[in-house]
Amino acid sequence: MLRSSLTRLRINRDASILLRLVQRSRLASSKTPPKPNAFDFHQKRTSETIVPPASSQWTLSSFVRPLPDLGRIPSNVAAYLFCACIAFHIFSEYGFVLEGAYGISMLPTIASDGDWLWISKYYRRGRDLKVGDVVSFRHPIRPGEYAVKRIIGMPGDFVLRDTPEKGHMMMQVPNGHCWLVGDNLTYSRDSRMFGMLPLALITGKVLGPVRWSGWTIPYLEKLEHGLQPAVLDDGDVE
Amino acid sequence: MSTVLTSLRRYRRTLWHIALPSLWVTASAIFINDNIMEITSVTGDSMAPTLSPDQDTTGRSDYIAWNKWNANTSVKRGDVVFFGLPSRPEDTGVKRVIAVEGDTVLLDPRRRPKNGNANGGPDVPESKSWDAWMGRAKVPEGHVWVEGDNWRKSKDSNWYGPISRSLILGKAMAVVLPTEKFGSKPWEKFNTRTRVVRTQVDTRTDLELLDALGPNGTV
Repeated sequence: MLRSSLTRLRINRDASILLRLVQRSRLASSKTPPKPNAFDFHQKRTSETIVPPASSQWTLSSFVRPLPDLGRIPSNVAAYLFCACIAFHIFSEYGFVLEGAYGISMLPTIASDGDWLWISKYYRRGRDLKVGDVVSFRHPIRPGEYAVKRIIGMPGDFVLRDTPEKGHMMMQVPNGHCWLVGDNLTYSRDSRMFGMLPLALITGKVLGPVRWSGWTIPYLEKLEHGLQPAVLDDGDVE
Repeated sequence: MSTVLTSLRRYRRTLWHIALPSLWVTASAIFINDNIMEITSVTGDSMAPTLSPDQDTTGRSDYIAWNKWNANTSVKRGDVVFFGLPSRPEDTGVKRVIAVEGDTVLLDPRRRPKNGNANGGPDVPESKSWDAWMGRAKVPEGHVWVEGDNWRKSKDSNWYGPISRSLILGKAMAVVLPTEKFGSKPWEKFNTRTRVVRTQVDTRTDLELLDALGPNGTV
């Protein structure tokens, strides 16, 4: 029953298309509107109720007036935006992230303004960190802020509590903490001010600043750990 | 051969419709876990009988839903918080906030660190640092003093001192498991015996402060 009605509709559709072609040619040739006849009545009934779809497939949905294309675009865009946000969060929380850094406390390693740091989140919470690594951490005194300093002591190490010329007291770094000092000793607020930092506050290791000059491709300037082998200095001994 | 290929193709299409959405669901769950809410179990009896009271006898621990949105910004006295441990960075602890920055904690002598239970025991290295506070511990800027509800068995700020507010990962929202206690907040009824000298927090706005400092104002 459905098929017979479908075939009837197909015949109607072909007839309506044929009629429209004929009408268009008539309009092109003469500027007078075509006279209504029996075929027009037939055509009116079919062309107003059913809009033929682009493909030749007739489905149930083709009986319903299709939504305009403009209504479908925002939902796609919203879905892609949501997926992009989620993917960016996962990558920046557990992979790598690019962060801007400001301040003079890590000169000359990191510029005072406009340097972008490539941070690896694998090293968060102190995993696989060693003395000499530059790390980013959540500030212990000012919650919500982040800072970047260099690790001078890991648990068990003995570190100097003050600047070398200003004091000689040493402390041992307890379990689960580290001692951080900035490269620019004079203008750095680090563990000499706020004490031992819990390793749980560390969010990642700075692999290096990303630099570019003019139109060159940005490159990563890998940071060195800065440790040098001890030199036996016996120059004063005669 | 062609039937194998078509079945494979059909299999791949189903995988595409199942594997990819499940990937996005997992990623969204991770996003929600990190930023909005996390559900963890409370092990150990440092917060008994408020949380996990039956853990020693039945082995069942309570599951708590933590609010992770802006967890370390508005921490108040009495909140139960979830934080990274200062001594073991990979582990987390659950304790109650007793004092915030600027407060002075009048240390409870029952909570003096010692090796053993409430009946007393030999000193540990942390006992010496507790004695060094001389009964009054001032909480520095950006830190909080946390204590477990069970004074007999709690390794808290009496052992490792005040913790940085940045360590706090979440605040307790409600109990999830066991189902009898779903939605309840058993920690709200607890009154701590530790006394705190509260700091006078100036909550005047900048304009009000300037007015008070001006010629017509009272500082």
